[in-house]
Amino acid sequence: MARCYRSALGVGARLLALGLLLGACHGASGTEEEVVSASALEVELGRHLFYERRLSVEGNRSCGICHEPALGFTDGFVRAVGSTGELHPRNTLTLTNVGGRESLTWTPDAPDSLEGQLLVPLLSEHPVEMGLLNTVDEVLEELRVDEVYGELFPRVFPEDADPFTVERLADAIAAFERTIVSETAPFDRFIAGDTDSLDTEARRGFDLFFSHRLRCATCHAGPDLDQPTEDGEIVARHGWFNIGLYDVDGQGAYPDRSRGRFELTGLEEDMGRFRTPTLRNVELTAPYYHDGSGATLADVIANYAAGGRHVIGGPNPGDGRENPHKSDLVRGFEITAQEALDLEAFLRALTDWDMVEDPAFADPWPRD
Amino acid sequence: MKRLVDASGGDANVWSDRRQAISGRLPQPASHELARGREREDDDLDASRVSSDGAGQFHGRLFGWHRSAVDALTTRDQLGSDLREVILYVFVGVGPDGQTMIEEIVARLEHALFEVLEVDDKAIGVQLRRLQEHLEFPGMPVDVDARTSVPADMVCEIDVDALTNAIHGPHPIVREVRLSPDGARSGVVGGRIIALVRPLLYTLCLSQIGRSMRFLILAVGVLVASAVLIGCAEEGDAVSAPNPVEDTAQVGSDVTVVDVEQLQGDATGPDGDASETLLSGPDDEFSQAGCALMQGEKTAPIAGSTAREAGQQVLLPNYDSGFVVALPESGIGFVTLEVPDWQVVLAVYTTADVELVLHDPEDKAEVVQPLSWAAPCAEQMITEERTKFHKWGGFTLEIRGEPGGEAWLAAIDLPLE
Repeated sequence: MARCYRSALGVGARLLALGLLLGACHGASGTEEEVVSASALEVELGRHLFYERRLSVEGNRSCGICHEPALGFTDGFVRAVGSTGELHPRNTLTLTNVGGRESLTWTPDAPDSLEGQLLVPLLSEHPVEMGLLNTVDEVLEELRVDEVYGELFPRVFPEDADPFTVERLADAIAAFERTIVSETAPFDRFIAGDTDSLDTEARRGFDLFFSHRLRCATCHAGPDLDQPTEDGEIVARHGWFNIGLYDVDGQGAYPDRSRGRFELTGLEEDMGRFRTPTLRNVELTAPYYHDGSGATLADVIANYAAGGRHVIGGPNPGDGRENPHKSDLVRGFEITAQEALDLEAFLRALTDWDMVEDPAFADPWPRD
Repeated sequence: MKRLVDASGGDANVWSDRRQAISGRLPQPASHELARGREREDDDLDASRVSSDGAGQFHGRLFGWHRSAVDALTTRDQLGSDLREVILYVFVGVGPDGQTMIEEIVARLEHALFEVLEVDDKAIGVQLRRLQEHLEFPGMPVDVDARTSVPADMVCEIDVDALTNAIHGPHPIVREVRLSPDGARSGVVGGRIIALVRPLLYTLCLSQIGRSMRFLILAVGVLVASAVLIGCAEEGDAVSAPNPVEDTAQVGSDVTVVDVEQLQGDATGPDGDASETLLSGPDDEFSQAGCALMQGEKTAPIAGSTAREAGQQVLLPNYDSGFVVALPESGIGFVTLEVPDWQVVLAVYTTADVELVLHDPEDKAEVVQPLSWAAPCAEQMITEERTKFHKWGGFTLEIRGEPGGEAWLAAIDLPLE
């Protein structure tokens, strides 16, 4: 992404963070072209469609209502609830900087292009999210006679004999989603040289985050703080880890329907391995984890400090700290109460209020 | 429209054991009141109306706490303080700028202060005739900038739904109220003085009468007020019945700690009749649906043992089945209630031996129908509470029941139209 080049280049070689950032930006080739190629008109069409509630079977969901800017482009649910009231097995992921991602879901079980992936919530039946599978043609006809869409679709796709197709709809929404870029958080300004952008607590938290003791950046590196490293070098665009949240059978099992890559591969080593999410706007994206079972940042920090989560009650008791499939990187660490607050302050410094409140990402439709 | 189920079609036998276990420990619903319970009307969902209804209920309680603390003081202390306040009015009334100062006093009395308190992150609105700094909720921020006027005859108003209900009494999240004896003295008895002197002040303010006449009127007012005060003091001395406040009052100390939990059981009145809060009649279709769910097949979620574990067990409101929630050994379990839409009213049903506490730190919900008996199935000791959620999302629901036992729940969403 072009913006992450700018953010990183002003930093120099001052911290480990910089190296991680630069490495990641070089590895993110291709997304810049995509951003440039998206015309402003297409993005605007995409924004209207992003917030279009007619794209859900009950008229009560849109992309934007489940990826709300104020919530860091998430929905606030523990697990998402679809248009018909069906409970999704996973927590909703943020769309912040989604254009730079190569894998878009908690497990690699969906298309890795934005255009392809967004058809899943739009058309899927198990579970029903927007539930448009059987009515998408009717909805497209509605859009055809709509004043806004009737003008925008033909202008954005002038070469199409009939631009009112699911594919074009997906193109436009994806074009808009690629513009959802966070680059002006206090963290960004700090690594660009503005040392005043982080207060004392957040600065201490920054040091802790990248410290050898906590080693958060081992899995949360790169411009979006979601890339794995080895020996200080980013080794992949995405990492998949079992962080010791569950051990329901004493042998490392995760709860049904929440077993991570194991559901795709059947390999024991993939039990509980989910994609490391970005930490951008993490303050706003609670609850956390693949199933939304982490309520607060303080809870998450405490679990990492303990080397996993020991679940006492509820439907899935077990000591995740002893999960045999847990990543070796989740070893636990000593942390004082003040340090935990400092770390939390740093995570809040990843909130990009300029982006969250940017009118360019707001719902264009008048609401009651 | 969602499918509704006839509550009468349920199997009554399933309730026999449960009802036996519940009854005897709780106030019984009054059948005759239930039988003539009115049907839900549109304005039942009007939050302001509900709040207003509840205000009087809490008014008595809040005032009672003050009264009790005052009773713990000496009669001489009260009289000394209150007579000083009356004399101040007299002084003001006959002073060289008496007219102006009287008008200022009237204006001050007319602009009562509005405090917003938070108890365990639950916002509680409190309207007071004037700022009573002696009333503290320890550890809870008070926004004194939020002020509004209140009717002259309203001593105080509070969101009673957050503090007390007709089934369980005061809310457990309220641990204590601290009451300074000095403040209580001027706050309560002084309030009576104001009530007495206020008409006089109005009279003086509105009529352009001479200073001597004002003095005469105020002097009469002083005499009347003194007589009333003496009567109050004697009445207070005559009160010998023990009360929770007196038990913990420490006269002369900085604060008096009142354990509100000791007051449980008062909320429904001496006869334990909760029917006065009944808002939905037996033919209310949503209450019938909730009752049917409580009597039908249920899923069996397991509550977490701490609020941190609430996210592992999600309950989704629905018209298909209720829930039998297994509680931990502590008797306090935590689940997540997923509210599926914005601006939705949820009706939650449970049995009277179970208490539900909705964690709403961002103040996204308000009770629109306080906890009451669910009319169609009140005989089975089933309660109902309706809450409007302004925004969707996952809410932690704390369930208090029998240690290691189970809590029966049902939750449905109500169409707003």
